[in-house]
Amino acid sequence: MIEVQNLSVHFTTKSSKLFHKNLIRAVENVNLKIPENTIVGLVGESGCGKSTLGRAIVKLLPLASGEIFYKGQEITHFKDSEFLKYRKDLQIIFQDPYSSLNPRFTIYEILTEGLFTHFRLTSTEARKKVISALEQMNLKPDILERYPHEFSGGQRQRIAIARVLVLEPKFVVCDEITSALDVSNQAQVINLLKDYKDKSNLSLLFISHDLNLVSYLSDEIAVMYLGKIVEHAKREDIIKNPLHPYTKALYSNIFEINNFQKKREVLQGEIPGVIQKPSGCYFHTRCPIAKPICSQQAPPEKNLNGHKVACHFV
Amino acid sequence: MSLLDIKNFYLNFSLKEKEVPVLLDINLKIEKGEIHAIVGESGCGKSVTSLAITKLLPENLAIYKSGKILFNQKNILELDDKQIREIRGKEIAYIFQDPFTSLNPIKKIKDQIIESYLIHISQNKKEALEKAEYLLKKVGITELKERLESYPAQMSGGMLQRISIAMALMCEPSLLIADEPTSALDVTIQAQLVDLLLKIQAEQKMSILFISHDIGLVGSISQKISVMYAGEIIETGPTREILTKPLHPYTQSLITSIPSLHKDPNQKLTTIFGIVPSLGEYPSGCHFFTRCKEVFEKCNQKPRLFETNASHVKCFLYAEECK
Repeated sequence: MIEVQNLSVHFTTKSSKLFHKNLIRAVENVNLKIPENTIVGLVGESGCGKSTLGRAIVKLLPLASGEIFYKGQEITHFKDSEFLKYRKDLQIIFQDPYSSLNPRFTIYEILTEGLFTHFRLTSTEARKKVISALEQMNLKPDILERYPHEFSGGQRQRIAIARVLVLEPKFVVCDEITSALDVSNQAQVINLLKDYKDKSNLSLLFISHDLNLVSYLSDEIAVMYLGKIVEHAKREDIIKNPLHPYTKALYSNIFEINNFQKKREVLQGEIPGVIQKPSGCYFHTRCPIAKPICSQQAPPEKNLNGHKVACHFV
Repeated sequence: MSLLDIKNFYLNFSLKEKEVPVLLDINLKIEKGEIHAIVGESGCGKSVTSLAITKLLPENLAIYKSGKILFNQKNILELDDKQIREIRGKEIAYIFQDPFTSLNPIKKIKDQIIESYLIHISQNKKEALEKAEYLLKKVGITELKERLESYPAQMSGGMLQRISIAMALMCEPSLLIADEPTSALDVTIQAQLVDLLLKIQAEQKMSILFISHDIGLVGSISQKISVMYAGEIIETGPTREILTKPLHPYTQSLITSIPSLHKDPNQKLTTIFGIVPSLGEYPSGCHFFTRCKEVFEKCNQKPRLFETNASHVKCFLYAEECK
């Protein structure tokens, strides 16, 4: 469905030196395949480039290098006008439902803006589509004339999801869509999204820092560290048999509701900054099994029967 | 004798010439050396409760209606400002959620960390700095000399939160109130800090009131849990009881709504219909009445705290007269 090859995204920031800029390699040489009707969870700690990767895939950020393929078609170099017809297929839902909905638009205007851009519809047809999308998200049609401020965070996030689903997208990036919500609201949003996905042929890139949530929801899980994907495999493989020491540490460090006695392997040290990344394998400064080679050479990506991992000692 | 004993505590906020109830009938006991957790969704009154314990809420907002907050058997609500300042920072210390805003950005770490020591214990600056260095080492800060001379903006969130912990420990408090101390941090750093807090707590035998929305985290560290909903503690009991045999319908839904690693992906998460009632719009009977699945006639009255084997629960399902 979606495939990215060698994707890199760079940013520049001001540096303390005059006429000098820092280059931040936010995402580096990422290869990622997202099959049809699949949820790929993307996890990692803050600042590791999860959101940047998500935005780059739906062409909201300029790439430093790499290609994006959608259904085999290369879409990397399309101009905005050429890309327009693909835009409705490739969508994104943002983290904060307070800033992602225009406060001056009614819910009807919010939901139909995309519809009228991409489809030629009469207003009755549009209304029908919008109402059915709202029903998918467990919202009543009588909210159409109201404004975003009248709703709670959980309701707003469901409106934001309905706005995307009304376009019948094929691929959606969900960027921390439940982090601003309480668990009971989160549960509702996740259940509804899952139901919708099972009914339609939708693929999701589900970005989150919540390992419990991603592990529950995803079919495949990709783990990112400082701009690189260090491990990517099927859900069961990652949960039962994580190979990369970073993935192992993440899973050992999460707190689980039904497993209180577990031993936690606590990592030493802080997450390195993204401007001055460590040499070789980025994880070697905190890795419990690091050897001299780890600080000299970046590990190649290995593929063990579909379980992809980048570590010298796997 | 409990270290902290909150009895039938009611708190109101005065908003635009209208008084609204915020906390209702709060009962909370913390024993010496115990870790007691308060969990609940945002806006349920967890933080307000923690701030009310040392009267840290803005004076023009908070009205301490009735009840008692007994700390070492002294009622904090009856103390004057001077007496409360003797306790605040010395006997009861706080760690807040966001170290970027809880530390002073224009003061060197060195000057902020010794402040409470100079006020409460001794005016000797050298002694205070020695103590600070000892504690900073303990919380895992390296390159001490440089760190002491630097400002909060020069450090990472994890490191600042370590400094906040060291700062809270300066006067060896008997009660540490930690309000979502690891929620702003990444999982690997969160695990480091939680282990550190547990180690220090065991060494110093202090009590911790741990406030969090993360039930998985709280379940791993606390001995007792109080569950809050809309300004009330609706269930309180030993951690294991609360998590394995929750009594209140809200606690039951809350626990099964959490996605977890080992949950069967084909099994749905529990949802609670409706939304949390906002401030000033609490239902007149049981606060969970409008969203509860097991609601019956009696629920439009106010339930008191019913006692079961190990827990206390505010729900008529457990009342003698309704069985």
